[in-house]
Amino acid sequence: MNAADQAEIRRSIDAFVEVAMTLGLQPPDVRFEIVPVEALYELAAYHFPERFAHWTHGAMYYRQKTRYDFGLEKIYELVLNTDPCLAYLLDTNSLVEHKLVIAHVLGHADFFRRNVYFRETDRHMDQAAARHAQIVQGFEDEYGVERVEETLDAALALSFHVDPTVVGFREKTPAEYERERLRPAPAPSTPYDDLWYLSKQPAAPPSRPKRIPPEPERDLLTFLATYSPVLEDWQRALLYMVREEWLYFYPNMRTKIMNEGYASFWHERILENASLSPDEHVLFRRLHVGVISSGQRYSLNPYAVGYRIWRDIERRWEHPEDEETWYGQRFRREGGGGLAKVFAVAADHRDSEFIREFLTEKLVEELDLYVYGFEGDRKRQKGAWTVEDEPWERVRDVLVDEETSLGVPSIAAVDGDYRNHGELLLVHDAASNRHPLDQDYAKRTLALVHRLWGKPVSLETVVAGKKLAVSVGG
Amino acid sequence: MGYVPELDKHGSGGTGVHFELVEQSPDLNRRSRRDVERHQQRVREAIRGNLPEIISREDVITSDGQKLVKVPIRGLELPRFRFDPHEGEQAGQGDEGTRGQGGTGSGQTRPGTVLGRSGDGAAGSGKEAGQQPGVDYYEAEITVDELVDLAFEDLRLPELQDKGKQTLKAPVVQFTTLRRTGPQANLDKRRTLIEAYKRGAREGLPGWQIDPTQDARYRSWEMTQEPQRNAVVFAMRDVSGSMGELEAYLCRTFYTWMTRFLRRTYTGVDVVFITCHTEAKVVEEEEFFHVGSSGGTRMASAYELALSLIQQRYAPSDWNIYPFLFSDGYNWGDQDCVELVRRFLAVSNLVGYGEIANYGYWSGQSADADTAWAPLGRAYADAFAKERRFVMVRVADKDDVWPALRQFMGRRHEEFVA
Repeated sequence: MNAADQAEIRRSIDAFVEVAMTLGLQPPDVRFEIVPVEALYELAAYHFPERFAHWTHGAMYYRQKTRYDFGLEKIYELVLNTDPCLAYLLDTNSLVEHKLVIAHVLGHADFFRRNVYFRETDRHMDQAAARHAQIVQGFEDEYGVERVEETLDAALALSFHVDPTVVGFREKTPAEYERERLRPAPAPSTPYDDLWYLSKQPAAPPSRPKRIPPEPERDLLTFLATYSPVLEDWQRALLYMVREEWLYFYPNMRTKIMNEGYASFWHERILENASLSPDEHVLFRRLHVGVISSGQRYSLNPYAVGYRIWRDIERRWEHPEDEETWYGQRFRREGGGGLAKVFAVAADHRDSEFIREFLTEKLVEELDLYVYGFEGDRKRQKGAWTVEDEPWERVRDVLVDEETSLGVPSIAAVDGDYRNHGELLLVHDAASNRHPLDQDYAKRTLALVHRLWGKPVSLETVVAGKKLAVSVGG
Repeated sequence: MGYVPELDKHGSGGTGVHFELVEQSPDLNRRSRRDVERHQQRVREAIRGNLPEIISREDVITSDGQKLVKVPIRGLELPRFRFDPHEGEQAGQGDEGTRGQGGTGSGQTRPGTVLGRSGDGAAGSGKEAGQQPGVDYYEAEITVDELVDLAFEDLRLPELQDKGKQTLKAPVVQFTTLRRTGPQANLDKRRTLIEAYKRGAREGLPGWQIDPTQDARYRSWEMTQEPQRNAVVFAMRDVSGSMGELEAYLCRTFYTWMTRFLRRTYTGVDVVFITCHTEAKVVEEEEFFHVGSSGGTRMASAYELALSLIQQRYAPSDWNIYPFLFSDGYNWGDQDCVELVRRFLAVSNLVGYGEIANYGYWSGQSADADTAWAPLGRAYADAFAKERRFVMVRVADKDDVWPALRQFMGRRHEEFVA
């Protein structure tokens, strides 16, 4: 990159920040770095400048880099929610691509600071990840690469199983559970006792028997790290490290559509208000359309869906006179509140709520969203993926469901002394998930849980109304 | 009016956006290298696990040498608890491809549109299959040579003897001795430690104190001349009218892999290709695999031809001899064949017979068809039940080729050694 381009990029950043602030964005510090292809794709595979070594990162790097080499896909940019935000730009980008990406990054940076689900994020996770990388390397030297890989395989397979409801809240320690068990809260004799404190202390009820875990535990990594009878300390440490890093990623997953849409919404707005030359404007428009146009057939394009919803929100709150409620009345809200509503929604929604609240029939049509299913021989996986004829509400509900579960079944560790034999019982809460478990995958994953638990491990689920148990190691 | 967002301010207060330009040059020692290598290693392990399926793929059989073939493998990704992707509904968004279907011309994907198919052969192109939900699909690229290495690394030609001493000798590098100096790569750590320990004991020093100038030991090599091992394989094949397309394909698969294996493992291997219906003739490799089926069957003529070749060109004192015959087992003159095999056993290391089991063709005795040999096989089974240098295998479909190969090349060898 020559000096003139560098100066131009520097100027653009200053100008865009100016525009962004005028429009109401408040992005935090961002450190931009221009990196070659290999470095950017490494970052995309490892997510942090330094991260522990594992073959899944290698596989990801290899796949994405190959797609880049064949011209199938290009990652323009990568931004981390750190302090300051770290943004990496691909050095082969054209000048206009750089500009679009910089504006896009400002959108992401603002969203990271604005949205409530990022409130608990450790903004120094890049440093933590680097520390973890060193620790893991030390473990490799001490205990062998193979043993570390075996443990990491199992830990990463379970990394999604942190109880999302406890993210941001401190969990009870085993000691606290133990205190509760020994001195349970008095049971009320009427529903209002606790309000009036009038009744005498009743005789203490028989204390509950000690259980492992005290309550069903959805945070499988913590459970295994705490209670596994076979893990060595360094292995427990690995589990905690994987969990800690995953907690950083979780809010990103929960706000993917909003975040990408928000950044696209703002890169358009910023570039429209920045003084681009007519030629640049044409190029930028072409790029922008490429970003927000097509779906991905089997899944949706988060840029496109998010962008259209944000635009729609702004329109509906800016000009509520344009639309009627479903019962044919005018909305009572005043006009002119478009951007304020955008900021408000960005502050306290996540994807599932965003979709449920703001995806309309018109948007489903315009975005060409649909639901599809597999028709044919499910056992042999022979058949066709076919678009189904469903009303738009169904499309919305399926999407809400997907964004709520994030594809992760609700599974909890229920009994660490199953069959009075120190076995582990996991239970899948089939009632709260619409889809049944993939049994083949469950079995393979269970084998990894078994590796961490040491004794036989069982998983209970419900398939077609019937209770079903899979066991490994028995 | 409106909503005033309360931003979560971390770190520095004001919005001073910094721009830093770091021009990194592509680093040859990227950290991803190790992880990518480990990934490739896992791919290789997966290929090895899927070999029986892979070796009978048509594109693998017809390609050669350095040519890359694409091999689909499954079960490579890290498992996790997940929903069954084949149950229930999922949300998608149309692309150019889906909107074209159904001829609407509008911007909407119509109900009933098929997004893609999966199942045998349907997931033809890798890109398509890789996109489908929940498909753990990886298309590995590998050359046929590498595949051969993977497939046969633990197999050896059975009962190989050092015959043919007068023929070419090949230079062989062998690490035989230790020296005090040498390239660092050849440092023998174990011996170095032992030397240090011994010296410490001699000099009364406590613990381990390694003095590289005194203790280092390096492995060193000698060039030796090893007699090149000679082997000749008679690949005989029934091309009579009773051998249908599937039989020809199975036979072809088997011999393709056998010749690949032999050529790659031993330099001094001759392969003589003989096709036979009523008349036997020696043919080129190319022709051997491509001839069509015609005429009746008299396998004895193939044996006779091979035996005459042994007399003329391949003296048993100089050559390890491996005759293999593939047939469907319907033949004129089974007892002739038995007698000829006896003559072979006198001069050969191992005699192989592969029977292409075609149950549909011979419907009369389907009851025990699974276990019964065809007439020629039965004659062999009776005559050579106790002859361990006679190996019989049955191949009924593609999946049997791999075990058959291993039976010919691998298991026997272990038995001989034991």
